[in-house]
Amino acid sequence: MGLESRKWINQHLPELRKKYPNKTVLVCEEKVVKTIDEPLDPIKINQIAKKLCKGKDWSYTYVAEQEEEYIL
Amino acid sequence: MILIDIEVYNNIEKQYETFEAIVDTGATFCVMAEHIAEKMGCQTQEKIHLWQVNSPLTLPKSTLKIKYQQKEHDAETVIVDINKDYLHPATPNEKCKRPPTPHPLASRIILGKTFIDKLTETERKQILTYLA
Repeated sequence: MGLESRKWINQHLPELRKKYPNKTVLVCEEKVVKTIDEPLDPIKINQIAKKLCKGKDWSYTYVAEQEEEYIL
Repeated sequence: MILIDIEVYNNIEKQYETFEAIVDTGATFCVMAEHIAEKMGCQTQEKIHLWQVNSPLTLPKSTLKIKYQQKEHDAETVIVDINKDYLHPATPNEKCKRPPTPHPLASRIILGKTFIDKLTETERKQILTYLA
């Protein structure tokens, strides 16, 4: 599972929010390898990641431009 | 917001799927969107009556197999229907000012106490370092 990719996403979230607002980003070995213009359900993301990042450390996130301030 | 990766067992594909998860120390249950639960073949059990901020919430429960750092845990989870038309007025005379971004659970799940309690102290402390 993508422990390193998750760590990278969490460290770079502010930059990702500026560069890829309101997109789903797929990160593989510390690089953004795909962006998608909508939030996808995790099953679809797993299908894409298993093709693009086969055998590699990967993770994903949906980078909402504004989100945290509206979550209870 | 603490974001981590976990794996959830897909009962239809018979394999684990990686999920982004919001760790919510204030939530009793884990939470999954209904459309995702259906695709994962989650069997629902009895409904539970919960208290939200201003009203009761009645949701079906399910038990998910969740893997974190190679260890599998059973976690009680509630299933919620995400209404696409959620941008609604808070009161009849008040217009909702929340931006029309997708629901946070459209691509994630929430991990509540039913999962967090299964972790070791070391694992919990490690998750909290994501706040730094």
